[in-house]
Amino acid sequence: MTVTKTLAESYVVDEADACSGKRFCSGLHSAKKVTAETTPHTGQKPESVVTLTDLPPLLLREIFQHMHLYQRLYYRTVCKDWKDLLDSRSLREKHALALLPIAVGSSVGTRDYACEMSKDCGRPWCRSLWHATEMVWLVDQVYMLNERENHQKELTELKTEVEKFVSCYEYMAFSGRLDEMLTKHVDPPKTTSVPCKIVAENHESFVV
Amino acid sequence: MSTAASSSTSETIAEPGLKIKVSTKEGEVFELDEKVAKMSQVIRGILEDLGEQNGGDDSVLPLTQVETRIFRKILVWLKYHAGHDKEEAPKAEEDEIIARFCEEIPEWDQKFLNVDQAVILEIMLAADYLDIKKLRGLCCKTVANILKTKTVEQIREMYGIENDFTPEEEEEIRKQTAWCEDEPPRQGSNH
Repeated sequence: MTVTKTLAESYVVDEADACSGKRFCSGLHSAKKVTAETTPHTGQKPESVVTLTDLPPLLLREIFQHMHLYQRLYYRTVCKDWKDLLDSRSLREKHALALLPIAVGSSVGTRDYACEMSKDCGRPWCRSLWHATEMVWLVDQVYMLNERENHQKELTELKTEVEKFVSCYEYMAFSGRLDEMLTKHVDPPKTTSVPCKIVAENHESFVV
Repeated sequence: MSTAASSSTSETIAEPGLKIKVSTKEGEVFELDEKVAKMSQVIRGILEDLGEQNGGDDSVLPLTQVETRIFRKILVWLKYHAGHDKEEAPKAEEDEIIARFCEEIPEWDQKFLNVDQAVILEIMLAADYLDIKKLRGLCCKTVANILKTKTVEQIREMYGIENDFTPEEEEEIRKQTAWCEDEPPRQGSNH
């Protein structure tokens, strides 16, 4: 085994020498190097080892904040705790408040923004999917933000952006998902919400 | 101020100026340069509360939740960033959220966090305890990047998480999110 001292006073072993066990592995096997602490990585979980399940919800939530919407939706199926956390209104709301101005910004168009944000995903269909999901999600936020006076301008612009985007071919596959998400994933709209009717290129219409 | 019960060793960062002594969970004492110490908002807060009179005596700030082996790693990070980071005004929360998406993990930090995931989590917890937001954020982003490469089943297996959904519940959720999973949509994508 090749062992060298590293910056963080741990030991780096060649990947080929590293544990091939999947359970409790470091998750870093895809990297060129895997670092083990002074005790060998045996694939077994020592009693004192900290795992993701030991983290307080606030830290787990912060981890999720580094994920895109579709990734969060996907990981809702891990367990009930994760689903509750990922569905939590505060997580989504904070994110939306931060990203709305960018999404509707004049200098960075929504499409460019979506493509830029999806660059870390290797799925070939990611860009169109991510864009579509993000737009659906932003529409989702309309309900939450509708009563906030200081966001009315952004919401108006967002609706315009959505209308533009609905004409995109890629979005057609997801138009049916919009109703599903709005009815199943979102809290009921407040009574003051103003419905917005969107007509797609194929004349299919739906109300958000 | 509390004083650590004992000190087995003492490390000094050889720089002029005020020195701050802290002790780890095991009682090991470290003497830090003021600039380095104050990168922890917890230490900064304590020092401000005390009127920054810590340096002139033998008082030691006890960091009772941080093990020595983790604190040593955090010190490496603090020392590097104390010397390389520019002074930045605190970001608004919304700007921080945007930065989470837009900013890559710098190369030095990637190497620093190229350790066993359990160690990353321990550094994350310690950074949270010490309120070192930047380090905590880097740990969270690193873990998120690891998770993104895993399927739901792999995550359950890696962390021993029990699938507590009923088959019906799981099927319902999977239906809702089927389009997020591996198979691309059958129509609508021209990529």
